[in-house]
Parts: sequence; C-alpha cells; structure tokens
Amino acid sequence: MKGAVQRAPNQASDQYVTGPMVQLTAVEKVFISGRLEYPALRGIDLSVETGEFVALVGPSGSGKSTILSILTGIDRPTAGTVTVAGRRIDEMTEDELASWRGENVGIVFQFFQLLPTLTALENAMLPMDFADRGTLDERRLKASDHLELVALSDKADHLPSELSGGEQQRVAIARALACDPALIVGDEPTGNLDSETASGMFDLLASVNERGVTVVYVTHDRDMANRADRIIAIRDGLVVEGNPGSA
Amino acid sequence: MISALRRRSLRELTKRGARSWLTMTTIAVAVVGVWLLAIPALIDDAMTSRLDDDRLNHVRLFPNAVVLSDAEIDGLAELPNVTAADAKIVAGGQVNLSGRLIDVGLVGVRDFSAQRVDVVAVESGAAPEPGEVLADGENLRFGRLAADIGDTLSITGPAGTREFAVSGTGGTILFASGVREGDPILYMTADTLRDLTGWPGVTSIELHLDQRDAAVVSETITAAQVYLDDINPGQSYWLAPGTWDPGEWPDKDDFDNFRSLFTILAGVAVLSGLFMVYNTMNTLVRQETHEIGMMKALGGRRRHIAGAFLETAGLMGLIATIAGSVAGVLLANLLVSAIATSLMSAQPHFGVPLEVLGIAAVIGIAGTMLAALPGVLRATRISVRDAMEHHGIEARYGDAWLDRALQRFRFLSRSAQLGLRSAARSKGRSVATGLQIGLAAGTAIAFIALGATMVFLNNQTFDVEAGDIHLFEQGGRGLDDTTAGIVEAVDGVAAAHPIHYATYGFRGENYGVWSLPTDTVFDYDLGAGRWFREGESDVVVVGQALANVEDLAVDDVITVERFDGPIEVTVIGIDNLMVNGGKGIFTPLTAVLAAAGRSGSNAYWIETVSSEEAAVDAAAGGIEQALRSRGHSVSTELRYVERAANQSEASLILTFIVLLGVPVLAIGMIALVSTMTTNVLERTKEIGVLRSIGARRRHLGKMLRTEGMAVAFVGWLLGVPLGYGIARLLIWLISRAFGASFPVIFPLWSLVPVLVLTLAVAALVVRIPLRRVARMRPGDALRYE
Repeated sequence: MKGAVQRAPNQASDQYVTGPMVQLTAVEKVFISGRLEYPALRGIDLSVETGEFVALVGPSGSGKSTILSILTGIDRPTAGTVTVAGRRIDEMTEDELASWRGENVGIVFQFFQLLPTLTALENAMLPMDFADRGTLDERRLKASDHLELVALSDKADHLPSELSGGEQQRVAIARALACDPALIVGDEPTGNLDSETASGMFDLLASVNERGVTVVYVTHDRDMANRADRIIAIRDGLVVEGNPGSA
Repeated sequence: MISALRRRSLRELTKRGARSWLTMTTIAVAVVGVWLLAIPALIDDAMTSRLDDDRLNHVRLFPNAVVLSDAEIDGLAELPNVTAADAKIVAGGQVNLSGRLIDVGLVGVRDFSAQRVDVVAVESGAAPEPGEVLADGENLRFGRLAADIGDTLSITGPAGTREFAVSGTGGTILFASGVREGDPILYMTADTLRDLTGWPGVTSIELHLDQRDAAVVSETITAAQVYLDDINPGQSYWLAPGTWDPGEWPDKDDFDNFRSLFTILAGVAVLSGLFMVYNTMNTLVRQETHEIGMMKALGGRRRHIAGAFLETAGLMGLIATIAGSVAGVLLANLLVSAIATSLMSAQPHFGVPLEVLGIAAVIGIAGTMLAALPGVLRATRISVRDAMEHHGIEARYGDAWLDRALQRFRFLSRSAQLGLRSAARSKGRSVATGLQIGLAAGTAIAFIALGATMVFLNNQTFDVEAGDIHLFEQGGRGLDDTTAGIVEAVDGVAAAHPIHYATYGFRGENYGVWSLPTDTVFDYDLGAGRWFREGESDVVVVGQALANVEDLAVDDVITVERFDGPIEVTVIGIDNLMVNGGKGIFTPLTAVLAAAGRSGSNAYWIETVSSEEAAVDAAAGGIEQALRSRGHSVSTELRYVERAANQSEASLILTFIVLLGVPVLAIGMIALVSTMTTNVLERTKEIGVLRSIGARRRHLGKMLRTEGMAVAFVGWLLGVPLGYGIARLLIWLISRAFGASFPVIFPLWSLVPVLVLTLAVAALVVRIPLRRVARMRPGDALRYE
C-alpha cells in the first residue's frame, strides 16, 4: 500500500481525510432492457487504497466495466453504497456528479472518445474549462505540460482525425490528468492499440501512478494486468480474487 | 401471417421511438400546413351560409316610394319563378354627432319578425321597436359610427329630426357590405322611417328567385313590373333593376381577392411542408444505411429493402396524416371563424373539405414515401461493406476552410466553441436545416414585405384623394360654379378642388370615373402615356388593372357608355395607382360638365388651413352651413375619419396575414427542434463523454444553444434572398389576382426583428433536446447505439 492519506475532493485544500480511495459496499447493478433484466453486479464489496495501481480482470460480461462506471458515478448502483475519496457519490445529483467527476476523476476510454472538433490541446484543456480552473492561459499552460508529459507537444494543434490511435490515447491520458485528479480509471485503455503502443501507454499510466495518483483499469491482457500492484478478478458480477476478504 | 420484412416495417416505428416520433411530428406539421388550403373553401361555405341566412335578393326593383299593402307585396311571391318577396324603405339621413352631421343610410323593415328577403338579423340586443334603431355591426368595425345599446341618436331625415334609442346591432349583407367604403347603416321599422322621411311607400322591392338564367330573370322582372303597374298605374321603376348573377354577391370582388391571398399563403405553407418532409425522410433513411447493409448481407434484394423502407415511410405518413389532419382541421376552422366573424360578419360552420383531405393524404402518405425514395435507392446502391461501416450521418471535421476558420474563434467559451463546431461538423444537415429555417424566416420576411406593400397600396389609394374634407352634393339643388367661391370663403378653408364622380359602362361592366381639371391636385402616377391637356375632351386615362384586364394600350380608341350615350374616347395614359382597384377611368372635367350641362362638379376635395381634427370639424360644419343656407343639399366626409376606417381595415388584413404566417414559421421551427434532437441523438455517446469529464447541464445547454443559433443564423442568411423572392412571388400573384402590377415594398428593417426572432426561437427550442440530454445518465449515453 503506497499510502492512506489523501486530499478530499471538493473540500478546502488544507483538509485531509484518511481511508480508502474507493469503497464499494454490497453494490448491485441490474440493467433492464425491455422485458430483460440483467444483473451485472451481485453485491460487490471492493476497496482500493489511495495510490494503488489496480487491474480489474475477467471475462466479457463479468461486470468489470460496470464497476468502473459505478465508481466514477457514470452509472448508479441498484443497491449498495459507493464512497470515493470519502464522499458518497451514489447520493449526488447528476450535475453534482458531473462536476465532482470533472475535478476528481480522470477517465481513459477504450476508444479514446476525444471530441472530434477540438484540437489535442483543446481536448486536454476541456475538463479544466468545465471546472473553471484558473485562467485561460493557466489552463493552456497546464494542458501543454500534460501533452509534453505524453510526448505530444508537437501535435497540440492537431485534430483527433489527424492523430494515430496511440497518439489519440495519449491525448486521452493528458485529458484525464487535466484537473490533477486523485483517481484515474481506464476502461481497456490499451484495447485498441498494438502491443508496442499499448506497452508505452502502460508506462505512461505507471508514471502517473508513481506521482501518487490512484489508477484502476480494466484489461483483458494478462501481461498488462500483471504490471498492476493488485489484480482483482471479477466473474458473474462478483469479485472472485484479489480483494481482501473476497473468496 | 406477415413476412419478416413487413414485421420489420412495423417494428421500425417503435424501435427508434424518439426518431420515429420526431419524423412523424414533422410530417404532421407539414400536413397541418396543407390544411391551410381549406381556408378559402371554408370561407366560401361561411359566405354561402351567410347568403342563405340573409336570403340575399336576386332581383331588386327601385320604385319611387310606391304604396303597397302587405298583401300586395306578398302577391309578388305568387309570380312565376319568385320564391319570396319583400319590400323596404331605403333613405339617406344624417346623424348629429356632437354638432357634426354625418351621413347615414336608413333602412326601414316592414316586420323584423317576418322578413322574407334581405333579412336583417339581430346580432346583439333586440330588434328595434318604433322610435328605436338597430345599428349595423359593420358601423363600429370600420369606425364609421360608434353606437352602443341604449345610446340615443339624433337623426335627421327629409321630414325632420327625431331622437332614437339604439336597440342593438345586426345587419344584412346587402347593406352591411357598403359600410366599409360608404356610410354607416341604421335599421328601423318601416313605419318609423316613413315618419322620418315623409314618404308614403317603399323604395326597394326585393325578390328571391328560383331560376337564375338571364332570360328567365328578365321575364320575371317584366312580370313583376306588370304586376306592380296594375296596382299603381304610371308608377316608374328604375330601368336597370339590380340583379345578382349566380355565385355573385355584394363585394364579391374584394372577397375573391382576399381568398386568392389565402390560397397563395397556404400554397407557401404546403411547399414549406413538402420540403420539410423530404428533408426529414432523407435524414432518416441515411441513418438507416447500416441496417440496409445488414439486410443486403443477409440476401435482401434491392426491391425487398426499398419496399420495406417505403412501407415504414408510408406507415409514418399515414399516422402523421391522421394526426396532422385533426390538428389542421381545427386550426383551419379556428382561423376561418376569426376571419369570417371579423371581416364578413358570417358565422362559419365547422367543415372538413374533402378535396383538402385528399391533398393532405397525398402529401402526407405518398409525399412521405416519395421523399424517402431517393435516400432508399441511394442506400441500396452502396456496397455491403460501405453500408455496414456507415454509422449515422458521416461527420468529418477539420478538412474544410470553414472548420479551420472556426478554430480561430478562440474568444468564445469552450461550450460555445463545441456548439459552433458541431454545427459545422454536420454541414449537409446544418445547411438543409438552415434552408428549412430560411424558408420559415424568408416567409416571415416576405409576409412583412407583403403587409408593407398592402399598407402602402392602401395608404396610396387613400392618399391620392387630396384634401381634408370631401364635399358631395345630395340630390335637390346640387353644386355649381358658385360652390368653390362659397367654400373657400369659409373660415379655416384653404382651397377647394373640383372633381366630378360618375360611372361609365365599358364592355358590359360599370367603372368609376373621376373627372378632373387638367392641373389637378390628384397626384397621378403614369406608367405609360400622358395626362390630358387643356382643351382635350374625348380622351381618358385608365387604371393599370383595367388596362391589363381589358388589354388596353395608349392610343387605343374605345367606346364607353357615358350618361348621355356611347362615345368614342382615346386612351392617352395608363395610371399605376390603385384608384377603384386599379380600374378607374379619368376624364377631363370640362368635357364631362359640358356633356352633363352642368356649371360645376358634383364634389370637391377641400384643403383646410389646419389638419387638426377640431379645425377640420369646424371647417366642415362651416361649409355645410354656408351651402345649406344657400339652398344646396350637401354632405361632407372627413378624411381623418375615413383614414381611421381605412387603417382599421388594413390592420385586419395584416392581422390575418400574420395569423397565416405563424403556422409557416412554426413548421420551420419544428424542423429546427427535429434537427437539433436528431443531432443530439446521434451524438448521445459524445454527450456521455462530455458528462463523464465534467460537463454540467449549463455547459451542454450553452453548447446546444450555440449550435442551434448558428444553424438558425445560417437559416436567416438564406432566408433574406428567399424572403425577397417569396415576397416578389406573392405580390406578383396577388397583383395578378387584382389584374394590376403592384410595387414590391421590401422594408430592410424587417430583417432585424426576423433575425432576433429566429435566434430567440432557436435558443428556446433547443431546450427540448437539452432536457433529454440532461436527463440521460452518462452510462446510458455511452452505451447508446
């Protein structure tokens, strides 16, 4: 465990709380599609400590992406509680969640999901724009730093359509870092990349984690999973391995 | 047992519920536009119904106060071809309004409870008892005479002055139709009017006929005159009795012009609707390209696929036609109710013209299928691979100069930048929607131009008649060469300009004639030829509509029926003004007075020193007094009163132009809602991403508003030339209906309010897709296909 002290998001900067970064308690999630009810999570208890580098693994449909959606507030649990950085996010409104997410969580999607009409620099600034962080120049400077970190400063003015898949994913990581989040989650962040690019991407996530950011990611790739501090295996909506107290 | 393809057609409607509803709503709104075509037919019905209720006469004889008993009048109904007969006393009188005398028409009805022809109906209050009058509803509507129930009016007739209480309002089309451009009308019992006039008998005999053929009507008139001669030998009747041809009624020309206007405006609504249906179906089919690829991959042949999609389109069209027709019928009837009651004093019945139902069905169902056809055929022609890789509308961004240009708009907030660039991303659709909005904005601009042109023509027609007071002779001792001197000697009078009003017959029609001096104050506007010169006699200047309708040109020699018989005159000029609906004839005053053996004209346009209403009132009073004291029987018309009546009529027409314009605008704005919602649906996943990285409702709102307003701005830009074109077309069509050529008044100021309105409505309508976006959870949005 790399540390259990963190800054509580949305609180004054001199206030600190202790405890896990992510705490899922008895979380259930049932998807309803027409007449079909599909239980994706069946009462999960899961804890991720601050600064951890955690991989979620499991077969397709096991519920690992759903866990990421739940812990980022993208989806709401059908039952159970979700506490992230000391805050019950399952009790927030959609707008509160959006605001909280923008400032505290960085998300890296499998298909990059960059805004096609914004340049790399603008994409990397976007969460700061939404959060009204600093002046425009400060945002631009910070986004430039992040692009430099992912070795893309020379393509700051390029649109996503002018970037390769690997470059787009690096912009997505720069975007995820925008508001200095305490938590970065990646849903198959290397799933759409060749193995060499994927490896480079992981180096990047690892370096972010080295800076104290908690990283949780979903992967199908056993090699990528092995690079995590801890692997949590999910099957049929349950944690089957890697969680303290789990079977 | 239905095939899988047909099942697919049915399920397609529910599979993408929101899109289907939007498409059907769009088509339904277009169908509502079609129903505007019902307005002329419904107005016709309302008018026919009014004519039936009023039992408008088919023939009217004008005896000189002939004494007829009730039994003798009833006896007229026993004549061959006569289904009903009635008689009235009709006279001129004057009402004293705070010291000023205004001319009124007085109508005496034998028995209000047993009228047979030209029935005077009571709209409010009660039928007049002896000593009471019923005011025509049009009096107030056109600002001629405001008289409430219970008011007392001092009315002067040939036999003296009496006080009358107003018992209510009502009227009959025969007399009411004259109020707009003539005198107010008051109804009373025949006995009351007999007392006021001193006339023993009736002055109007009205017959309602069975057969309306000219020959039969002529026989009937002869039979009636023989019948009346037997009762009162030697009694003279006007030789030219008034008759209405089948389908004709008082002011039918004005009504027809108005109806043409509605037909044209409804046509614009239909065109707008058709374009929207095409636009919507094209978008819908392009979104289905991926599915078309799947069907082809499974062995579906082009005709199967096209058939399935057209079936879906047909189903949507059917549902939309039913919904749109229900709304359209209600809207059309509502508009007709407003028009008929305010302009025609007619109470329309709820109606559903079947021919419009047919057009609505053709446009709603067949039009929808046809609109879908090009897209379906295009989609079935592309390869399976291309179709399978197609996800909604292709939206490549960054290559075009516009995309690069927009990236320089760094002063905007990020949300606004996103919105603006999103609009540029789907260029094809944005332009198509812009065009739709452009059509709506253009229609609004065109309607304003149309209104401005109508008001201009109305004012121009009014203003060409110079002076603050118009003086007319009223039987008895008319006006003569001493009149101008007498009038100009009255305090407050600056000048008196003679004009002689008459009627000429030409090719079977009667036309109003203004005889004017060579150096007239009438501000003519010649489109061709010249005005008459000193000493000319057998020459005329004709209005442009008369020239167009009768194919007259300068130097044509024509034969006209003057009061002294047929004469040959040379057309020397064509006037562009709309005097007498553009069908006026102008002749030299001296020639007409010489032919009539008069020393002076029968009317004057009088200019007062001050145009203040009180000063004009005083001058009019002075003129009447000065002339009456010298034995002249005259009446005056105050131009400021006429101007108010004229403006009131123009306002009514403008109101209805606006009322019709609103549905056309609504169609355009619903297109914007439809497009914005479709845009949002297509970008649902992207919006999920935005929510995931911290976008709040206000950010999304700003983004969508900017996008909507950018598209609306493009629409407005397109709408300006479109509006000018539509305005020219509308005014050309309407001027054709009048047989004239109207100028196009295109007020540039109108562009600003239309821009503001377009942007405001765009900002407002994006709230609908925004609500959907804000409600959606990011997880659902990210999973949306």
